Amino acid sequence: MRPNILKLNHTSDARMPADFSALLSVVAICLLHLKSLFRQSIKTPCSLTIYGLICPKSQFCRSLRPIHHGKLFANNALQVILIGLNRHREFAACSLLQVLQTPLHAFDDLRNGSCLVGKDAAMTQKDSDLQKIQEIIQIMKDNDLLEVEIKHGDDKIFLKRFQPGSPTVNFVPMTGQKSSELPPASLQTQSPSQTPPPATQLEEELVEIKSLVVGTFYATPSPDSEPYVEIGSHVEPQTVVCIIEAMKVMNEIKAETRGTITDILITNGQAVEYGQVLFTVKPD
Amino acid sequence: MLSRILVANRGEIALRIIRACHELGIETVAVYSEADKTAPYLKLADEAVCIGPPEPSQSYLNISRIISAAEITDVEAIHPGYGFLAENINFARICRDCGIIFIGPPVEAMELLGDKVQARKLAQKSRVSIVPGSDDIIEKETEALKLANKLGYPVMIKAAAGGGGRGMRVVHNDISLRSAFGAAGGEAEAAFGDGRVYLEKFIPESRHVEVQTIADQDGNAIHFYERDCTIQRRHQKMIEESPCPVLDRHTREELCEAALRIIKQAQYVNAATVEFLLDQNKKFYFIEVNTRIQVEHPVTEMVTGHDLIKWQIKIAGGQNLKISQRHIKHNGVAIECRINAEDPQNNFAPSPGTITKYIPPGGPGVRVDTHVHQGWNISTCYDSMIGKVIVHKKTRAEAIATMKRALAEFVIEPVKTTIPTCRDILSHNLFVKNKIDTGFVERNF
Repeated sequence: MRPNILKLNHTSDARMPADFSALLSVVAICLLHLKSLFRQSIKTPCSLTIYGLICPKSQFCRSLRPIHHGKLFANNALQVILIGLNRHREFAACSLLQVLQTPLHAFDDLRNGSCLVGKDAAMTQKDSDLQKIQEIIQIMKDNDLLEVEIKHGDDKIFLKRFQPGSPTVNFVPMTGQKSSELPPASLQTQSPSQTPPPATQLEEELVEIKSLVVGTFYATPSPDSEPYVEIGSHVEPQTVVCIIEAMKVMNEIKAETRGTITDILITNGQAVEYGQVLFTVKPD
Repeated sequence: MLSRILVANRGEIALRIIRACHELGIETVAVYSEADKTAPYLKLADEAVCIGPPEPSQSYLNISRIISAAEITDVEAIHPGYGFLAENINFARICRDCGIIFIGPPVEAMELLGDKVQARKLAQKSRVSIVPGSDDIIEKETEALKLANKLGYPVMIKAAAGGGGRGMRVVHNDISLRSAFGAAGGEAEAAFGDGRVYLEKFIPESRHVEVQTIADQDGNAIHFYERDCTIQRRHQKMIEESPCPVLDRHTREELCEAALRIIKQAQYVNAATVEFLLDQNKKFYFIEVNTRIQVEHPVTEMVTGHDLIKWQIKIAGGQNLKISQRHIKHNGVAIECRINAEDPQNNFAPSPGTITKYIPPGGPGVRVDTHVHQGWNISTCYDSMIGKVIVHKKTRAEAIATMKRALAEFVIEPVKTTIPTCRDILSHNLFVKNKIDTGFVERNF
């Protein structure tokens, strides 16, 4: 299971708009964490997704749950790394989308189809890249597109939505390349997807259901049954959310909280360690 | 040969085992508590599984979590290291029942030798002198008093399920015996889950000498000579060396042969250390057997050139001791100093915290076994030993000089360590002249 990595590298010294800079002090993640994730993965890759959204100045970032802490890079080189596996891309992309969307007002520049902005542009490369991706995501949602690939010279951006789908960013090496117009997009239409899951309300705290047992996760009471819970299921403290098998004992894991399941971070049959986050719940 | 091993321990011994496995081409699974999640040796393992919060009872002593970790990572064997579950009969039994190889002795041998009273009986059966004491468990205070007077004070009340310097109390007269007897039983119950005690005569001015042995599944057993661990504080070893500087060749041979007799009598498999007391007249008495690899195993590794951890793993994997006793040669002198994060100026109170400056020693003949590094946070949850410095030279004088040099180079700041104490001991006249006994440190430091 390969990660999808969005990497934006900006070394411009141009000053950023104040509100945007607050936003962009976000998601700087140590590559070491990336390495340690894969070193520590247990046979099948872990379902851990978003790394460290930390942005003390931004109310939106604060409300996201940092799972690992990120490091703020001192210079202007900003690295935004999103890793999503399976359904968690949606959560990741959704959250990033929320983060990007909210304080930005200036979509106008890109509405007429303009372009990657060069070094001498008024906005920094970083701003324009993010806005551009944002715009593309919006276009995809509006038109129910699943995949978009844009190539221009050495630059490439490829965005793909997954079922039940909300856009996730795949890969883009952004250089300071100048271009005069938006390169032609190659669009692929896909079968209509379901509406994206309700986006996390960033103002509220999410509760994590963690494993206190080392063992194997099972989403269903038996191989042929329905899962105990799904995204959107409502849980009470005594609701059994899953089974973790340890030493041939089937431990029923209770929610211990009241709310709605917003995400399931683990797959059936996967090994879990102590402290691993299984579900996130939006409290009532 | 085993293909995948889970290391059920932490710190320097976990790193030691992972290193041996790497050299043998064996995959490793490390387990860790939340306090150890940044330990660098976790990245050296092929997989790492978090097994609980910092408290040992919830992590490194939590049998079900460790066994679960072994199951989900599909290991063949578990190496328990030393301490924690290394001498836990229940754990060894559960491993066996779950089809996981326990890298250590069979359950029966562990049970037999783990009960110190049974071990004494076994030693007697093997024609090895034991410390004069009770033949069996002492249940009543009156019995204890009678025996104590027969043996002559001072005597030691010891826990049958104890060991490793724990669960022991010295009493000097009837009054102190009366007050200590009940308390000792209570402490033993709390510490080991077994309140049974026995009595031994306390031999003053004795040296602690132990023999390293390894036995395979076919009943072959060899020894790797002895270690002298007389430098102790509160029954915890501080400095160990090999060879024992006061043994003559004949006594050494007798000592090592005695150890092998006990091991064979117990039908022991894998590594064990047989401990003795050496009195002023160079007469030795059996104390106990430690059914695990020990902290000070590097001392023996340096003087014999054998990797004891690898032997443990090979034997657990079914391999035989392909070597015989005559292949084990003792070469030179090795000394080990345990480095504890304790403040010698403050009665050796634990000194936890983050190491901000760390410069280990080096040079010819110096080995450093540790998991700590600059930036490492020494937790309050685990014992205070943070590393070991081992030195190997041709003569004892050279070894002492090199160890002093190495300890002088060793920088660990800002936590307090026992490095200054070790340096003082090594410079002490009595240590250099070998006129020490197990009470030396407490009397002089």
